[in-house]
Amino acid sequence: MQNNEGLFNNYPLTNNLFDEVFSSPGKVQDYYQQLISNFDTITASEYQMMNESAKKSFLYQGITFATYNQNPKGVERIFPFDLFPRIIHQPEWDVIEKGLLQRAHAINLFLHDLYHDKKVLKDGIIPKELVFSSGNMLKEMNGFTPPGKIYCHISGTDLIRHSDGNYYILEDNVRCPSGVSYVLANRDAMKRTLSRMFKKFNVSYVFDYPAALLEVLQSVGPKGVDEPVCVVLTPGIYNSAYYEHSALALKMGVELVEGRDLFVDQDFVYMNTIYGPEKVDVIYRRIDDAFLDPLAFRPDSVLGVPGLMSAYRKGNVSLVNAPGTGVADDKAVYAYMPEIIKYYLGEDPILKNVPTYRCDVESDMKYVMEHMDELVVKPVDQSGGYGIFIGSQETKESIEKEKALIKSNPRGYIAQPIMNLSVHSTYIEKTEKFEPRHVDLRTFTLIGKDYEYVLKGGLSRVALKEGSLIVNSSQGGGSKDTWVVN
Amino acid sequence: MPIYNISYSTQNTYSALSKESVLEFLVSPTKNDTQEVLESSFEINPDTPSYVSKNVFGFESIRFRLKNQPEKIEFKYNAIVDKKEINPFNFLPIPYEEEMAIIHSDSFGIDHFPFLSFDKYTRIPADYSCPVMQEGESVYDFLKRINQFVNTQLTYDSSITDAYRKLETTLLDRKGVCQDYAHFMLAILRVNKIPARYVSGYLNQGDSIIGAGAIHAWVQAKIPGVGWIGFDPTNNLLEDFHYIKISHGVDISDCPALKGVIKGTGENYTSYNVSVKEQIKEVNQ
Repeated sequence: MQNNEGLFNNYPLTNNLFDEVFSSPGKVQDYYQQLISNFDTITASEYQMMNESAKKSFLYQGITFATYNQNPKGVERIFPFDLFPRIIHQPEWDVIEKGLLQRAHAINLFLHDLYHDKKVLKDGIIPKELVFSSGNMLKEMNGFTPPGKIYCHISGTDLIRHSDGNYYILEDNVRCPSGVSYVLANRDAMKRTLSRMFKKFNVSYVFDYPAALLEVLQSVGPKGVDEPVCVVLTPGIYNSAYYEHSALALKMGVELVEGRDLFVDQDFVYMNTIYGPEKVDVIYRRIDDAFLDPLAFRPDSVLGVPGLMSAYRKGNVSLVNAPGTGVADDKAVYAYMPEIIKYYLGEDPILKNVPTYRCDVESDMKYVMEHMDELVVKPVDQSGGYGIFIGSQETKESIEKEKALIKSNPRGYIAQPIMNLSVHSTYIEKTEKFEPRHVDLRTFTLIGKDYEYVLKGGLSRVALKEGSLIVNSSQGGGSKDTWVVN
Repeated sequence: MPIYNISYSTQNTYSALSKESVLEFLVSPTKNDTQEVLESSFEINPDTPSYVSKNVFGFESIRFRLKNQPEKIEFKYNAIVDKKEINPFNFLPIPYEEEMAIIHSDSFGIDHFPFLSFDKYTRIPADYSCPVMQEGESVYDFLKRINQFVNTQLTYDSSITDAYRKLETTLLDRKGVCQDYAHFMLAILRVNKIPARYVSGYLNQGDSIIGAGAIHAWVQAKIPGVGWIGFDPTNNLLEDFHYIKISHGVDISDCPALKGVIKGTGENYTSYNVSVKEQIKEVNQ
């Protein structure tokens, strides 16, 4: 099946890990068969050339992001892209899609309840302290109902595949999830570089995402506005996802604005244009809650628009996502998501949660303290892979340090068993060979008024460092085009 | 039925011209069962368009957006307020056991989000032993006790100009102004599961009452089966018809008289003046 010079020659399989491509040495999963035979006709040097040209096209298009890890000022990098795509088989995808929609609907019902009757707390489904102490429950949203009762229009749910072959939800991202522009860019690069091969496959398309997003924005416009003016609000060029903000605005055909381009008068929002002020009805904001309005939240924010929250609460402008959604993607609340789905929908969750230990529960804390070397500890209020502690990879000394940290703030941490993220054949430039690397999947779900949409596939993020489990782009991860095929 | 003439004026000076700024004044007395605004007016110099906006708790503020802001801005607000002479402390408390059952019920705590929460203004430092309700002590008795307790624990110091002091700082130097007294009392009440809110307003000051020439701050606490009752720990008084409420919120961050967002590099200096005069007295003289 493989020739001797093939890119997949001597491909190493790891025990106890689910390999997305190879079910056993030399044995390819059925739905990868056609793809592998196509790639097997490519030589290593040909592949290297294609890889280079794909990389250049990212750089020329300015498809970059910034990381804050080592350099506080941020370093612009291209998002490493692997030409060998990941395939998700249609029957499996159908289940994922259903599960994502179920979760998104449950989260919206949960948020509406939290900001109104709070039945979920009164019925004891979730301890009230957990929600009230999270800091993400905004009093500014208390009693307010956004159009269509939708709080979370855009969710970026992260999935992983464990060694048992099942998909698990790793975390929910319902504030300002990013990454979708890379899905679109990856697909473009794929089509441009391997156009003839791509045409042979009936791959579900992704280019309808911007249109779907615009549909969602327009569906939640203020009452009585027939053709709402929508804008994308960005923190500006120094934000790590600025490329994405500009790409989405461009593809939707709406204005990309910064806070200084907008102002509020009589509780209406206007943008300054060369033709004078124009009323804005829907804001797809990519600014965190705390910076949205210096009169309502952080007074030192220069990114936001003074008076925006009053205009919002008056119903004169819609914000997407709504402020205060962060209470639903808090990692401690995540542990209760299966109960939340059952409570609001009366259904069993379609997609499983990773078992989660909450350090503020005494018995959980005890377990965590005794099993640090088998667990991944995460701060509940950080995103982007910052602050993650993987017990098995740490020294005794640093485990003790982490323990003390957890004890000083039990509410601040959760722990999960180390999930064996599946691996996927990934081209490694150094060895000029395909090697297994861990992958996860960021999915994108949209909810509008009488409208729902799941991007087919999503962003497969690859941990490029051998053995690494951290796939976040901010931590040096790469990505793959993801194909849903029958 | 005392009728009060209230005036609030402020002068903001800036060391440099700023490009754009938004000023928000939360100084208008609110309308409720015990008070009514008969007349109100405001002016700003230089003349600037304004609008009235409601905050999350329903209180109205006046907002201005200034372009190329001048070095000096003056704002004057006047109102005539009719205050009912109701004694809010003339109530029948519910039986003690019932009161405790409500205070300790989950739903009571849930319904009063966010007036039971803690932040930098209302978090009691870990090493401070917070007073707790005694066995058999009613909520009302406890409130009166804490009102006095806070009053005696702090020394009023009008030289403090920072309106946004953390409770930690206040407890360190045992000094404060009305905001600090209010935050300290809020903190103790919330630890004891009594919903409590920060109140800003005007105080018709007699000679011995602290709070002259400034917007005053006090506390309202929820007594189960009765409602929100006001306490002024700065003066160890209960809220009566001398207190004219502007707004309430979780803490000072919801209730400052002036919020400003200024885009520019200059320094900003604010001075203000408040006066409350009772009309009836003048007529009687």
